[in-house]
Order: sequence, then structure tokens, then C-alpha cells
Amino acid sequence: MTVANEQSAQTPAIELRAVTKRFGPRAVVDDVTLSIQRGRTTVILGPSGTGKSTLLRLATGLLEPEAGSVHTLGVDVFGAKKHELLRLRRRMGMLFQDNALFGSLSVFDNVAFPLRRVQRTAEPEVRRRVDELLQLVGLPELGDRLPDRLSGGQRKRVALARAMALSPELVLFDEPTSGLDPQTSASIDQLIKDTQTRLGLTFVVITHDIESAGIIADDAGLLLDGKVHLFGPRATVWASQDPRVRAFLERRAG
Amino acid sequence: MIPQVLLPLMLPAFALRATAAILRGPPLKDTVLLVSRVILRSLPVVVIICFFCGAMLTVQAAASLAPFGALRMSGLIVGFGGVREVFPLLAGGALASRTGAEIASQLQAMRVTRQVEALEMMGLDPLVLLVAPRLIACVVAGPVCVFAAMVSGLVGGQVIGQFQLGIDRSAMWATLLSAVGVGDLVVGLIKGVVLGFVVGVVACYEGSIVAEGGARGVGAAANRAVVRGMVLVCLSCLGLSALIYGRFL
Amino acid sequence: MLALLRWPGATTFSFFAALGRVVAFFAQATVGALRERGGLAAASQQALSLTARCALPVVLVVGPIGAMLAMQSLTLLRGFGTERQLAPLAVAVIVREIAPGFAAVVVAMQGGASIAAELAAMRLAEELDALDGMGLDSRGLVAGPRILGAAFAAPILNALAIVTSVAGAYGMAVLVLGVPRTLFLETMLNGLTPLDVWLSEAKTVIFGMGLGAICASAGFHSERTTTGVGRAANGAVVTSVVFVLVCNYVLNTAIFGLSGGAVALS
Ligand SMILES: Nc1ncnc2c1ncn2[C@@H]1O[C@H](COP(=O)(O)OP(=O)(O)OP(=O)(O)O)[C@@H](O)[C@H]1O
Ligand SMILES: [Mg+2]
Repeated sequence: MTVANEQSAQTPAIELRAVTKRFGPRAVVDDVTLSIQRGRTTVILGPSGTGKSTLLRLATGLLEPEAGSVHTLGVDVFGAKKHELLRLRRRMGMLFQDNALFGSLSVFDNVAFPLRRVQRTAEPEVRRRVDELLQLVGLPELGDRLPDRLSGGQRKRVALARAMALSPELVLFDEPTSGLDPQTSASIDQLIKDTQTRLGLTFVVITHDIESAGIIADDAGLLLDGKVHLFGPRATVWASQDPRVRAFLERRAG
Repeated sequence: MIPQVLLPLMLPAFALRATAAILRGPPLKDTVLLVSRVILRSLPVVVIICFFCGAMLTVQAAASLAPFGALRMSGLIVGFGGVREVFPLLAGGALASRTGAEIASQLQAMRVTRQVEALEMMGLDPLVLLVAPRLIACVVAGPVCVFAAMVSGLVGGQVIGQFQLGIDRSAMWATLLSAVGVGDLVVGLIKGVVLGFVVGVVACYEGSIVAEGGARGVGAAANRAVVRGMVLVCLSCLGLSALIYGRFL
Repeated sequence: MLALLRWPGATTFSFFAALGRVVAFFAQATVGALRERGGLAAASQQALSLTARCALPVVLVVGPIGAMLAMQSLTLLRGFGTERQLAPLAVAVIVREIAPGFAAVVVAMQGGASIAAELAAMRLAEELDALDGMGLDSRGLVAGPRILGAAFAAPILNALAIVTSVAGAYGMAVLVLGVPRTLFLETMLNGLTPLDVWLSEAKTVIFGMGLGAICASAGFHSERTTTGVGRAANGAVVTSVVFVLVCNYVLNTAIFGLSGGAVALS
């Protein structure tokens, strides 16, 4: 099935069909079928090591599954040609779990990188836009530092600014608030929520933080042992009486 | 996963893809910076190694020739064997151990910390952005290193001949250069380009493949790049020499 | 102007400072290892694993060099009409220079880089600090056996290098260039004395110890970052390759005499 990009507004942002990914003999993502809607914030919850990050890598084509198909923004990720895939990725932003900042570039140059290299924006415009982004994440005066010289939370915010630099339609956040103090976490949650409502973008957020999920999520999914245990509107998930869902949400040892 | 039997084909396949990436316009500024960096970092190593190697060859040649009363001919052996084989080979070895290791560990560190994936997520091709400039840098640096190796090797021979063996200055130069022809310089140029290419491809390949993760993977990549680079340098030196000089035997 | 004067001074100073640090480190690590119970066993273990990892690269590096040597020497000797001297000349050069030099270079590249990277990764993961924290001697336990291992492995690999390199020369001379087989085999030991072989082995022990100390020290004193691990491995390789070649010259001069051939062994 191929759908032209223009008429694809109704197609899901990310659609996985019967996707399986193995590392060695173990299926880390096990026959997952999932459809993430556009214009909403979807939160993926799940204990450590259940394959959440792997799911994002599959959705962006950074990893190839053993079985199943992935459509992202209406493009068949593993049927597309290389340049089509590269073009698709320019419509997405990704905040990596471990930030993946370019170690040899300053904070400013990190955020400017996609603008300069991908969009080939003129330098005065780059300057204006980067300042704006750094302001947004609350780091206006750290532009000259190297990533090594930042705290973990500051690095995360730089990575967030870089992920948003190209004004992507779809932004994937892999644990945006892990390792941050509660106040900074709350401000990032607020940032995500505000940006989403203001611009109507599609956000997919992976998190362990149930409190922040409660604030930002429109939809929520719980991933357990490589399978989607439950997926639906947040209210439905939060009201579920399934014992494993309750155990996770109430942070009980399961 | 890739079947075991296909593994030896991975490197040539990578070489083709990397060469194709060069044609797709790597960033000019990065390329220029890398070319100068590779040359600046490798040259001192090449010069030191070859100076002492020229010196060592001279001592050795003198020790072998002295019993025949042919001490003055030692320059000939150094000039002939050094320029044709030893100095280019050592230039390749120095390039592999300085630049090859550096490129492999740098790229592997970027891969381990997901910086390469970050580039891919921006819709950029790491092959064009990271690999192509490094490969160009190695190919340019190759001949530069080979010529520097020849010059410093001969100077090493000259210094030893003149000051340690007490051979007349101009006589030493004359014997050193007597066996070196313009053809040898052309061969040096060809060898330099090939060695640079081989070292660059191996280093970029070892830096790009998925190996052990974490910090140990970075060290291991550097390690493999140097050793495999050196082995391929030796094999291609032999191949080129046999191909070129073998015809005129 | 002052900076111009200062640079060589500072460089020389830091060179000797680094040299002093490596020598001190070498002494502490090896003495520590020999004091440790099972230290020699650990060193033999390291030597075995190093030999196993370096054997194939040594063969692949030195074989072609032997072949090249035979090819170019034959060209040169034909010019003087003395091509009957090929085998003794090639074998002597191999035993005295090529085998020890390149065996040590391969050990530096294969073993040295992995020693440095391994220790640097241990430093990064705070494994070395953990040892010190337990009141153990991390130098003697971790670095010492690796240094001694390199010193034990180098002569074994040198012997292997001599054999493969002579085989390479034989292959090129006899099989490709048509030098008579019996001539090659009968004359091949003429340029050599047993002392040459012993000196060659002794040289590689010194190379092995030196490069082991350089690489272990580089890893031990590395920066605690992922890039630090790579940098330690790179720096160690380059320094130890340079060390091998410079040391080779110095030892040659010492062995073959300052005036060249005064003590020539023929
Ligand atoms: N490249 C890889 N090679 C082998 N195994 C891997 C690889 N990447 C991930 N895994 C394994 O797959 C499983 C899922 O990993 P993933 O990173 O997706 O977990 P996660 O849900 O994101 O966990 P966390 O919340 O801790 O980030 C883990 O058990 C991990 O060990
Ligand atoms: Mg994860």
C-alpha cells in the first residue's frame, strides 16, 4: 500500500504491523502491532529493557526488523529507497536517550548543525533560530561550551533544542526527563505540553516517569517484555484494572 | 545476520561505497581541515621513523660491506632498497598507526555514543559526511608521507655516513642517489596513493562496523585498524613492487 | 621570539619527564608483578595470548617483506654480478634487522594498542580504583604481567618472523625468480653466526619490555572518557613504533660498532 504524502494526513504518524526484532535468540520487540496518531502526544511506558528504545529505532529505520512492516508519516520505512528514507528523517526530530551530542562541537554549533547542514540556512537566521531554541530550553548563555563541560540535565536540554531545530512534524523523545531534578523535569514536561498544543505536532515520548506521563499524554501504551500490553487514550489506560498495569502505575514491585 | 562466508567481501564492498560517497560531494571545509590534520599529525612520525631507519640501514650496510673494503658503497644499498621498498613501507606503517588508529577510534566513539545515528536522523549520510572526507585526507596524505619518508630516510643515511662512518659528504650523497631514478619517484607516488587509500578504507571500515560496544569497542577498533592496515600495507607494497619492478628484472 | 626558544626546551623537558615516568612505571609494575603470587604465571598467560593474537599478523607482514627483500636484492646483486650471494645476504638481513624490527612493530600495533586500550577501559570503568580501594597493587596486578608478557612474547614472535620471512625470500627467489634451490639452501647460513641469532632474540626482549611499559603506562594514565580510551591506544601505538625503530638504531650502533664494521660479525 502506498499513500502519497499529501493525502496522508489521515494515516497514522507511526504504524507498526506485526513487527519482530531479535538480538540473538531473544525477541526484544515481539510481534508488535501499534498505531500512533498524528497531532497528539503518545507516551510509551515500560520497565527498563523491554524494548522501548528499540521500538523508536525501528520506527525511524535506524534498525531493521526481522519481520513486519513499519510506516512512518505515510512512508514505508523498509520499502523506501535510501534518499527517500533520508528525506523522511528530515521531517522527524529525535532526542536520544544518551543525547548523542557531537562531542567536538560547541552547544551552539550542535543546535545549529541541522540548520546549517540540512537546511543550509543563512548564518544570521541560524544565529537567531539557535538563540531562540536555547532560550526555549532555558540555556541562553551556554552556547560556547563543549558538551563535555555540561551537567547531565543541561546536555539533555541541548539535545532537546537540537531535536526541535528543524521544526519537525514528528518528534521522538527517548526519556526526556530521566536523570533530571524534579523541577527541571516539570519544566521540560511543561515545555513539551505547551509546544504540542501550540503547534499541533506529533510527539512520541518514552518515559519511566508516571507523573510526567499523566501530565503530557493524550494516548499511552504500556510495553512489557517486548509486547504492547495495553494501548489507548490515557484515561482508559489510567483506569485499567489489569493487575500488571496497576502494578506499574502504582509503582509496586511486580 | 550476514553469513560468515561473505565477511571477506565486506571490506571491498565498503571500499566501493566509500569511493562512491566521495563523488557525492563531501563537505569542503571538513575535507580541507582533515587533509591538513592528517598530514600534520602523520608527518612527524614518518620523519622520525624513516630518519632512524635510514640511519640503521646505513650502519647495517656498512657492517656488511666493511669486510670487503666496500664501506663507501653502503649509500647505494640504502638509496636503492630504501627508496624502492623500505621508506614507502614505513610511511604506510606510520600512516596506519597514527591516522588509521585515530580515524577508527574517532568514528567508533561517535558510533558508540550514537552520534552517527543522530546524523542519520537529520537525514544526513554518514558515509558522505564522515567517511568520504577522511578517505580523501588519507589518499592525499599517502604520497606526501611517502616522499617525506624518502627524504628523511636519505638524510638519515647521509648523517650517519658523513658523521659516524666518516665518508666524504658529497661522495655519500652521490652514492645515496646513484641508484634512485625518476621512475622510483613515480612508483613512490603510486604507492603513496594506494597506501593512503588502503589505510583510509580499513580505518573507516573498522570505525563504522558494529563491534563490541562501549569504551572497549573503541580501543578494539583502533587496534584492528592499525594491524589490518599494516598487513594490507605490506601486501600492497609487495604487490605493487612485484607488478612494477618485477617486469624489469 | 621567547616562545620560539621555549618550545624546544619545553618539548625536551616533557619528553624526559615522560621517559622518567615510563621507566618508573616499568620498575614498579614489573617488581610488583614478580612479588605477587602467581605473577609469573599471569605473565606467561599474557605472553601466550599475545603470541596467539600476533602470530597471523606477523606472518602476513613479514612474509611479503622477505619476498620484497629477495626481489630487490637480486636486482642489486646482479648489477655487481654477485647474485650467488643472495641467500646469505637476505638471511643475514632478515635475522639481524627485519625479523626483530617488524616482529616488534607488530607486537606494538596488535598487542600494545590492546594493552593500552584495555587498561584505559579499566581506568574508565573505575576497575583500577576498585583494586586500589581493596588495598591491592593495581600496577603489579594488572600492568606488570602485561609488560612481562610482551617481553616473553616478542622473542617467540621473532623466531616465527625469521622463519616466515626466510620462507618469503625463498618463495620469491627460488619459485618466482628461478634461483637454484640447492644454491639457496646450501649458502643461506653462510652470512650468519649463532651470535647473530642470540643478539636478534635479545633485541626483541628489550623491544618487548620497552613497548609493554610504554603502552601499559599510556593506558594506566589515560583520561577517563570514551575518547580517552581511543587516544591512549593511538598514542601508545605511535610512541612504541617510534621507540622500536629508534632503539633498533641505537642497539645496532652498539652492536656493530660506532665506526661501522669495526666489530662486524663476519
Ligand atoms: N544493539 C544491541 N545488541 C544486543 N542487544 C541489544 C541491543 N540494543 C538493545 N539490546 C537489548 O534489547 C533489550 C531492549 O533494549 P532497549 O534499549 O530497547 O530497552 P529500553 O526499553 O529502552 O530500556 P531503558 O528503559 O533501560 O532504556 C535490552 O535487553 C537490551 O539488552
Ligand atoms: Mg531505552
